[in-house]
Amino acid sequence: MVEFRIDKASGLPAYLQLARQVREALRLGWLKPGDRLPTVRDVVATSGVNANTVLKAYRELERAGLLEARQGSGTFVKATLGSVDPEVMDRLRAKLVDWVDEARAAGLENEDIDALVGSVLTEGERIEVP
Amino acid sequence: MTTVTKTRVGGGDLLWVAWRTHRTSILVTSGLVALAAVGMAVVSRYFVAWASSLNYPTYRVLEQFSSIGLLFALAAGMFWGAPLVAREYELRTHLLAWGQDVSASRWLAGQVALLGAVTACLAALAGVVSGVMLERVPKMGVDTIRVFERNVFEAAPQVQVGCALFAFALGVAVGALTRRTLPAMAITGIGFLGVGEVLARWGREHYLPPVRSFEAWSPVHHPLVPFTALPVDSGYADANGVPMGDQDWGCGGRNGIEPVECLRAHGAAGRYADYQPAERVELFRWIESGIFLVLAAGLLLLAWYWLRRARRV
Amino acid sequence: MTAVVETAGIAVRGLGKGYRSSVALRDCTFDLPAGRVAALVGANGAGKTTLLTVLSGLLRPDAGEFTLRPGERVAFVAQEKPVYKHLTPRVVLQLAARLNLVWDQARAQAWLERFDIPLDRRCGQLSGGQRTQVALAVAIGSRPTLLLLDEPLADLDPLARTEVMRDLLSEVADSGATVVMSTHIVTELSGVVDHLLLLAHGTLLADGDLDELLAAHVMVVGPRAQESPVRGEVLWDKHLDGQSLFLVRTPTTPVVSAPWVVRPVSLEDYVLALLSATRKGDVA
Repeated sequence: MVEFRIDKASGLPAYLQLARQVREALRLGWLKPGDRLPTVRDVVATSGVNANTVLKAYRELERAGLLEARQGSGTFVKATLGSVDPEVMDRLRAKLVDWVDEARAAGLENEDIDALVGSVLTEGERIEVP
Repeated sequence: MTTVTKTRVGGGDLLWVAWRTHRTSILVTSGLVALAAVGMAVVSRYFVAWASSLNYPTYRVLEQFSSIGLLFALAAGMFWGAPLVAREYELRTHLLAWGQDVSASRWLAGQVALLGAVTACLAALAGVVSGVMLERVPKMGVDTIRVFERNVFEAAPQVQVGCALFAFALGVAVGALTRRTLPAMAITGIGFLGVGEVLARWGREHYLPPVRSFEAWSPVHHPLVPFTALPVDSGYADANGVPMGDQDWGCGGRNGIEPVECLRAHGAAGRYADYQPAERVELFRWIESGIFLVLAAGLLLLAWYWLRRARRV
Repeated sequence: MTAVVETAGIAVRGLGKGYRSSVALRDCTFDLPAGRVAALVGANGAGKTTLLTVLSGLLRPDAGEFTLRPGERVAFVAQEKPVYKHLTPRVVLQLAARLNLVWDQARAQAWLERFDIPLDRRCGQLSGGQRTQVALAVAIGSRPTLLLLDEPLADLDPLARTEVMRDLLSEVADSGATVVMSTHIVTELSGVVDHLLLLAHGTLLADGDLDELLAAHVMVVGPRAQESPVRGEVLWDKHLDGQSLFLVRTPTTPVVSAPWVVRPVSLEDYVLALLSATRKGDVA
């Protein structure tokens, strides 16, 4: 079961936030193919998100081939997002540690680093938006 | 499924809503009016015994007692009629009441039907009680009473019902127009008393063509108008009995000289008087009641139209 | 709930309403598809209440017209959340049951019980927030297909706001009702509403699907500059000592080079930008 959260201050549309949370759950292995997603009504009742928004997120994920709606029984996970190879993960992490060290040496504080990462990420997100 | 569906919000529903919102006020007022009626009946009984032992013409006091009906009508106008719509606007509850599946005008019809019916019943009770009280007056040694006088004329159920419904309708209409309770109450009170005064002073005597009596000049004056009748007009008339209008011939009884000769010289053959005889009082009461009811209907129509306009909320 | 074909819910054409001394609504035209949850946003006196009251049928417009779905059942919760103060919530529900063609007592009562509203205390002794719940319970009990809410959250504390919104959304998800909700609290709307109606001085500034509206705009941020590096209509700009911000309407995501960045526009950015632009326009 996934618990959805909407970051209301984020500029990212709510349905994309939901879609991203499903992707995240797939990537982390919380959701596996064949798993049933909560019904739209359940998501509305638990997280206070508009039904149309949930529906839009599910449709977006169906289009991406990650979910499928089965008539009358709900929405199910169809495919998984390959978890990242642990080796690749380690390599990325090592790179990030180096990068953070470099940033600290340049005088950046945690907040600055957050802001920088955030700005790079939001730029990336912007391109995700159809 | 717990959903209940109906095809129409019926009159019964509207009456129930009116009853449930005004229940306390209806019960308290009815109780008070009933109590006052019983109390007055009891008091008047002893009062009559006491007054007749004093041989004192106390009917005037009793008349005042009988004005309870008018007081009730005034209260119905100010405390039921005026706030009926005005308070809804003031407390914004009209947005609740009229926002359901019932139009404002149908809602109003339900409220008016219930409170109007209660008003009419209580007014009729007040009218009966005050009528009964006045009937005791002759037993007190006064042969007759002037039935057209204020508080005597009104001491009858039909007049009480008419004027109470008029007061109520006036309150409803003024409340719908002003949308403010206190001003509506004030205007209703003043308006009701004003209309009552106008009818009593200038209207009542014209409900039917008056009876005319004529007396040629004679050494002895006889009363032209019976004691219990309502005098309308009087003056000099010519030989054909036709009134000669208000003319000043300068015949005023100066220097102790009878002006009759002077008047006769100007063509006046005698005196005449127009009046409404006491026998007509019941008919007049019905007429007055009818006038009040027509006015009330007009005012309710105005309120109904005003609510339907929905130009402002 | 499978693929939903959107049908027209409310069609508003040239709606206008004036009062003796002011114009409350001017030539308002928009369509709201059925089943949408729309936020009606604008400054005080923008005409939000007038629009809702006209749609509720309680107020006659001076100009224009609107059409609802055939058989639409409208419930309106007015800004004042009016309830009869001398009656208890239980009796208020009884009144509503009598005055409505459709009534679901269990739903209405469950709403009050869920929020711990005493059913037998007179409404005059309830708090503003509790009275709001009574007014909402009346609306929900009447099973509307169009729910008009005027500042429904204003008297509620933050926790209650979240819960009420969540439960309202559940109710409308069940019934498929269309919702129009006026509010000041723009920051809490993301994910809650999917449609926007933005009013200023009685005029409709923007309306449409929320995601589409926001996706059609970007916030361009960079060093202080006279002009936006992105082509498109600049709806709003702001210039600080070392920084300039432009809200630009653009059909595609523009690519800019450093030091400029392009940020997605949040609902709050969008609303505040459009509203402050009209304020400037008024002064000029």
